[in-house]
Amino acid sequence: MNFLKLKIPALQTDAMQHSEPYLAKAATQKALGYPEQLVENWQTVAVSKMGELLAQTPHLQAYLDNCVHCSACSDKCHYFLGTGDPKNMPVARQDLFRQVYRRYFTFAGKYFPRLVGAKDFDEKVLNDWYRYFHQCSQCRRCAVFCPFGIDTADIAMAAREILNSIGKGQRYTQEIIVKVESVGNNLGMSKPALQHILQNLEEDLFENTGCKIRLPLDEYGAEVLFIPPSADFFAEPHVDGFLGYAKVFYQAGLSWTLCSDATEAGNFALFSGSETHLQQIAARIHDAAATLGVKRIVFGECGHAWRVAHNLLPPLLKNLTLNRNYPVPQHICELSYDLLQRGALRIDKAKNAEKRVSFHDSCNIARASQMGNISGGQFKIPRALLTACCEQFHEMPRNTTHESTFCCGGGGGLLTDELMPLRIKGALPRIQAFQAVIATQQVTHLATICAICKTQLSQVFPNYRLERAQIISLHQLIGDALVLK
Amino acid sequence: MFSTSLALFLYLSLSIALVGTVYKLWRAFRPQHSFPRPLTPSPFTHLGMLWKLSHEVFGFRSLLRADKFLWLSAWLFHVSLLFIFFRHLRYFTYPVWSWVVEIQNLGIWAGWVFWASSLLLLLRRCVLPRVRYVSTPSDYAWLILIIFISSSGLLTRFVYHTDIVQLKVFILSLSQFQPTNFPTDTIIILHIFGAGILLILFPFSKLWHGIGLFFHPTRTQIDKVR
Repeated sequence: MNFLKLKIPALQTDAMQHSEPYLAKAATQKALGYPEQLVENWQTVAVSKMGELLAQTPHLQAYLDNCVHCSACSDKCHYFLGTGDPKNMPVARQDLFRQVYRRYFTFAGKYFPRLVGAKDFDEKVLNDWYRYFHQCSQCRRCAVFCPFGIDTADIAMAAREILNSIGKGQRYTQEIIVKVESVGNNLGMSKPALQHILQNLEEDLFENTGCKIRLPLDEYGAEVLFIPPSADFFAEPHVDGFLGYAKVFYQAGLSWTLCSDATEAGNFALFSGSETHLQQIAARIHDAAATLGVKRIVFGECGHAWRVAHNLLPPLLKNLTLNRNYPVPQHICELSYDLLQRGALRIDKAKNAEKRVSFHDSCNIARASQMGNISGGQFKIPRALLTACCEQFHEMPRNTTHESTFCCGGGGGLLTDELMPLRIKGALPRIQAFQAVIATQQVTHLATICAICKTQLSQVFPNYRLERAQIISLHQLIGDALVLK
Repeated sequence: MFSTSLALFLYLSLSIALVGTVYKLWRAFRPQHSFPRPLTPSPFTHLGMLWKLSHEVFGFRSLLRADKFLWLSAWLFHVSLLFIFFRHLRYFTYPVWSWVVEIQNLGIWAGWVFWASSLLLLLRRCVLPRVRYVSTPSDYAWLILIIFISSSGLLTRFVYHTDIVQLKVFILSLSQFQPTNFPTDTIIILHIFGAGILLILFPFSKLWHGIGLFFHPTRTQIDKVR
């Protein structure tokens, strides 16, 4: 089956009006340099912040000016397909921003607001902003179908940065940014805790493989600095993928290390729209590489991290003496693919024989980055790895994969418990596509290369009568198929 | 007196359109102080990007994938608009270029296609709930203005003929800043007036999308950061 027929819901006004994330606490906001709570003159502050963003990013203004309200995007969003709330149509979500922009920054909006749908930035609009810009996972699927490529993700980022700057930050994202900046990873794991975890994992690895596979931390002079998303240290199914990376390094004989100050690939400032924190978090990678004197920087399986690494990091790493024969930075899939092509991996597909696998393209990898310096490499390389280590690989319907992939429903800083009803509904199109290949190809597992996708899908699967263990890391499959002795 | 006022109105609308265009271009060319954000997979070279962009500009490729009915209406609408523009060149050039003479008939057909497709677009906007939800009064007003200009044009051509020689003399006289008399037929006056309004609003409204598209990173940025 090549095409999944998606049911387009009838409009249900305000169906998701109740859905909003917790507000960031005063201390969190303060730590990040934002007001502790909603400031008194928030309207003025918000409008001036908007002006600032329009000046810094002219394309934002272009996106706001050039929409013709054609609604080609309206049925492309997984949250709209899952909820039917009209404000979850990408064009309507943009219009929440656009109506304010028009009111304060355009002639027509200032003098004929009703004609062009311009609105005062009042409390009602503010509440809509907080609710519905936190019902967007910034996956960019709508931008693929927009005739002008208008990017709702960019507009949502700007909206959230404006919300931050008036004291209405989102708790989950903001707390994570504080943790990564103060401790070094999103989960706030200290070095001793990390050492303990790694030691236990090394013991597990020895028990299961009989090989002395190391998980080095802060080792000066290693060849590769490896940056995993921190969930990889213990969450399921992430940790099995982590062991997969280690097995690949082991078999290739590559010396590698983690860095306790940069044990986090993720960069949640991308979600919160804060350019300052985005740069600050990204700079840690540079510092870690400089401190440990590594020659290569490799990122683990994390979607938005790879977007930041691919698009923002290279200029920051310019002054480092790295081995430029390899891409800087490099994705773990690129590394494994390179080894595979050079025949450096001994793989026995039969070890994965009982698994029939499909692949979920993660949005930030599919639509905001690339792999292998080949066009569409972000699609080809993971698939090449999967077919190399699995006997049975089956694609989901084409309109739900590659650049048309559906978000898992938990990206963009929405992976928090209070948004669970939204996350379950937003996963609907992805899960329908998965169920379609289960029905036609008896697929058992969905492989992916993003920590958020893994957490989100394993958590919502039970709601759709699927098992948590059906979501699996690509590098777990590689690790399981490797012949280590 | 009337001809002079009409001439002044046309000078004014053309000036506003030009100044507005320069302003909007200046604004669009400001530097971007943020990280690159191409929509991938995106070509690695500017030539490749141009090739991909040409599919968008001439074939509305993304729209074709998004919505077939809208694609058909919108594509016919824009292509016929192009031919209508070519046909109108005969009112602005002397002597008329031979290829403009050649496509006169095609231009007339395009006039009908344009009229029909604008009606389709208006109908779609009124009928489909998802489109109606996001439509502002100005969205309807634009289509009504366009249908008005297009209908008055067709009426001049087929029903209420005007003195075409006198019209052309007037238009050519505008470039000498010595306007001659404009034909007194109401329909052609309305047609010209509507076109003037369209010109004035072009840079400041959603009509700018045709040029704005070239400033969207998702459609123009190449993927070569690493």
